[in-house]
Order: sequence, then C-alpha cells, then structure tokens
Amino acid sequence: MGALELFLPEATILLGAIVAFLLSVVGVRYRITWMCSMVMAALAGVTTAMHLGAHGQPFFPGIYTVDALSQLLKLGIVGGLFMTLLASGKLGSVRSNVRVDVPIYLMVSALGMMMLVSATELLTLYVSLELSAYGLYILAALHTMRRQGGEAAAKYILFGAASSAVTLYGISLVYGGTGSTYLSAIAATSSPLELVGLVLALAGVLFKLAVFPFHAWAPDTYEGSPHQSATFIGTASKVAAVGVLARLIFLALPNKDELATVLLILCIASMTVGNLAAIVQRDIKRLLAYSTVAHAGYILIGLLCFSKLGVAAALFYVLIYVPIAFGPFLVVCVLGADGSNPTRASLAGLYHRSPLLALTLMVGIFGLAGIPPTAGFAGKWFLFTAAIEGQHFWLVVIAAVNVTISIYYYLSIIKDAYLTPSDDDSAIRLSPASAVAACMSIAMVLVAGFYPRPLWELAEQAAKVLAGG
Amino acid sequence: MTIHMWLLFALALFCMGLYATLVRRNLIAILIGIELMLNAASINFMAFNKFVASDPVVGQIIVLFIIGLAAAEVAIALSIVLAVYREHANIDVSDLEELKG
Repeated sequence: MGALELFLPEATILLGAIVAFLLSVVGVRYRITWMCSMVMAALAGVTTAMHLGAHGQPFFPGIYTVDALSQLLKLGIVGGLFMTLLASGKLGSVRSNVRVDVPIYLMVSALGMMMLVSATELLTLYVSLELSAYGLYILAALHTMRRQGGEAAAKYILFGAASSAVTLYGISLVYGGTGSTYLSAIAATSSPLELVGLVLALAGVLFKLAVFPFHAWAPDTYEGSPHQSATFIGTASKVAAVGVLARLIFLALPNKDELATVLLILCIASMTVGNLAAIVQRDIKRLLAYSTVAHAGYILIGLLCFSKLGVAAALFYVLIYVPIAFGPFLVVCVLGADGSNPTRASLAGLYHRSPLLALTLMVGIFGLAGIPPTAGFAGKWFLFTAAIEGQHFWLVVIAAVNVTISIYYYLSIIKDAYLTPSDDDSAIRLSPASAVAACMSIAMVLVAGFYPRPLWELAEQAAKVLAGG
Repeated sequence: MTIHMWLLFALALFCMGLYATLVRRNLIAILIGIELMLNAASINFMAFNKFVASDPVVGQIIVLFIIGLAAAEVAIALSIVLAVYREHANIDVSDLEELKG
C-alpha cells in the first residue's frame, strides 16, 4: 500500500481540522462548521475501519508504524471524536464567541492522539503527545463560567506541562542508556539508566490516563471545563494513553518484574482512591472523573501482566470504555445544555422527563459497574482472567472489592434517575444528533456485551504486535 | 568537561525545576520551573549526543524540537494565566480553589 493510503485516516482528520479552521476564519455559523466536522470525522471513521488490517511504515522507516495495534486504537479515537461531535450540536457550556473553534481543537487533538498510537520513535512520540495535549488545554478553558474555566485549564496545563517535562527528562535518559531513539532498538537493549528513564517517561502517559498520583487535575478539570471537552478528555484521550503506555512498558521486558511492581502499586492506589472519592461526590462530572481514575486502575491490571492476554484485555477494556463512558457524559451534555453543571439532584425524575436519556444513563452506568449483559462485564471478565493467569490472585481480590464499592455509587445514580421523584416534570427534548448518539452508545455497549468475540479477536491481534505469539 | 559533570548539572537543574513546580504558589514561577525541567532534558540530550550516541545529529534535532514545543506550550500556558488574572486579579495558586467536591 502507498504511503498516503496508510496515512489516510490521519490525513482525513487533518483535512477536517483545516476545513473547520477555514470555515471559522470565513465566519460561517457554528452549525455549518459542526456539520462539516461531523462529515469529516465520519469519513475518517470509515477509512480507519477499512484500514483495520493495514500494516506498514508510510514514511520515515521505523519512526511511524501502522500496525494492528495502532489501527484498532485509532478506531477508538475516531469513534470518541465522532460521538463527542454528535453531542456538540448545542454548546451551551461554551462561550458563544468561541464555539466555532471547538471542532478545530477537537480534531487537532484527535490527530495528535492518532499519531501518538502509531509513533515508534521517542521524538515522534513526544511531539504527538504534546500535539494531542495542546488542543485539550484550550478546550478546557472555554467554559461560560470564566472563573471556573480558567481555574480548570490552569490546573490542567500546569499538571500536564510538568508531567510532560518529567517525561522528556526520562526520554533523555532512555536515549543516553541505549544510544537510540527508535523503540525497536531500545527494546533490544537493557540498562539500568534505560529503566530509570522509562519509569520517568511513563509520567506523561499516566497523567493522560489520570492514574494515581497523577490524577489530581482530573476532578477539577472535568468540573470546570465545558461538558463536551470533558467528554472528549474522558473518552478518546484514554484510548491514546493506553496505546502508548502499552508500547512503552513493553520496552522494559527484560526488567518487567521491577516495572510490574511499580504498576501494581499505582493500579491498586488508583482503583481504591478513585472509588472511595467518587462515593461522596454530588457533581456528576466530578463523580465521572473519579470513576475514570478507578477505571485507569482496572486497565493497569491488564498491562502489568506483561502477557498477550493481559494487553488484549486492556485494549478491549479501553475500547469499550469509550461508548460506556460516553453515555453518562451525554446525559451531562444534555442536562447541562444551559451551561450549568448537573448534580445528583438534577437527575431526579429523569426517567419521566426523557426515557431514552435515562436508558442511556442506565446502560452506561451498568457498563461502568460491570453488570452483565453490558460490555463492561465482558471487559472486566477478560482483565480478571488475565490477572489470574499472571498469578496475581490478590490483585483480583482487591479489584473485586473495588468493583463492589463502585456498584454502590453507580446504582445510587440509577436510583436518582429512575426512582427519585422530581417537581420538574417538563419533558427534555433531545436533538436528533443527541438521540443518534444515545442510541449508538446503547447499541455498542449491549452488542459488545452480548457478542464480544469480534472485538476480542481484533484486540488479540493487536496484542500480538507487542507480546508476540 | 566529562559527561558526568554535564549529567549532574542537568540533574541539579531538573531538581530545581521540580522543586519550584511543587512549592511555588505563583503561576508564572511554576511555569519557569517547568522550563527549567525542559532545559535539563535538553542539556541531557546534548551531553549524551556528544559523548555516547553513535549518530551525532539526533540529539541536536531533538533539542531544536524541544525549544519549539516549549515555546508553543508557554504561549498557551501564558494565555490561560492571563485569563485567570482577569478573573481573579492575581495569579496565586492558593486562590484557585473554587472547584471542590
């Protein structure tokens, strides 16, 4: 296949960003920019799906690799972008004069994420990491409530810039320890300096994934940023982070026991801190932020096994996490269409006000809690199977306790939406795009739950790239 | 100078930057700390490039990229700091406490 053909999904998103930028310069209405962006994102989705089995190196041999792993993750990223755009029809939480800029930053950031999962050279990896982050920093600052928006963005960029600086210092040590910046050459050598560098280099990625102790920004940023920004940060960016995390930790395969211990501690701390902190939250976005921290911990279970099964389970989990987490975020986008942040109390009577929205919330929350027949159950099943195969029995016990804790607050959200009566019985009108997004999220979560095999096989193929055999 | 001198110098710079990021309460001071950490990484790259690496241009190219990326990052960070200043009339981190659970 030609270079352009392999690069087609990224090229489509890049073109979409340029088109959105030109439209914003010309000064057309937001609705038109929005529709054009959705068309481009849909096109990118189709090209990614068509190139799912592609492999090769479109340009600069060794630097940019298209393989089963990168293509599967790109599908998740483009899916997250498309669904976020579907929910962006009315940007009530974004200041009206900058609404037209939102699709540009969404697309540039998605482009960075797509390049990130294909990067197989340290400089490319770092540049893509930064490219994907810059758009998100700006997206976090656009809230109508300027005070909160500025605070959210300031915390996000300070944590982000500091952790990416630590990453860069780590990368410099890896370069010094191995004398090369190509991941293939680094994987072939092993030195103490390289291991120290790799652990430092993980900082930036763990920050993106919001793993404890790099999670402090997440609740504040989710709460203070526009709902759509939080949706994108909470879905697509996790996919990219897991992809690059998997690539990086497999560089340390000769020293995997040391790295696995570090990841094990972070994993247990993330699950426990995330779930315990989520219980007391009233603001839905804050609650979702802490639930993201907990889910980052679950994903680490798969990665720290250093096995094909474990990586496949982590990839499967993060891919289904996109539609699962999107459901509750969509409810936030619709309920907070006036720019306010929905709380637990504002969910009351949701079942009577909009049955479809309540169903979206229920399927999404059941997915997060891992209740069958949603995809969340299948994902947790695979993760725990991989952990048991990797002799991590205690980890599975701790994770199971955490899942039980999380079911408490997840189900109390369902109770608010379905059983708590409310004074306000006015029906919520869903826009067609939001209704489509809601149906897509429900369908994906249920189909992947009843019939996980196709996605699991794709995840296994992708895992073969790293773990072999 | 030997490579150890350069690496120790970079390490000291990195620790100073990390210290500033963690303890300073002023947003600009934190940004300066982050810049120090980036510069420490750059010095590391140049030192490894001179004394260790087989291909002597890689480190230099990376440093050029770091300079560009750091400038872009600071541009975004300063604009956000300015937005914070307009609302709060100061840039002290302790004042950023409206978002709480």
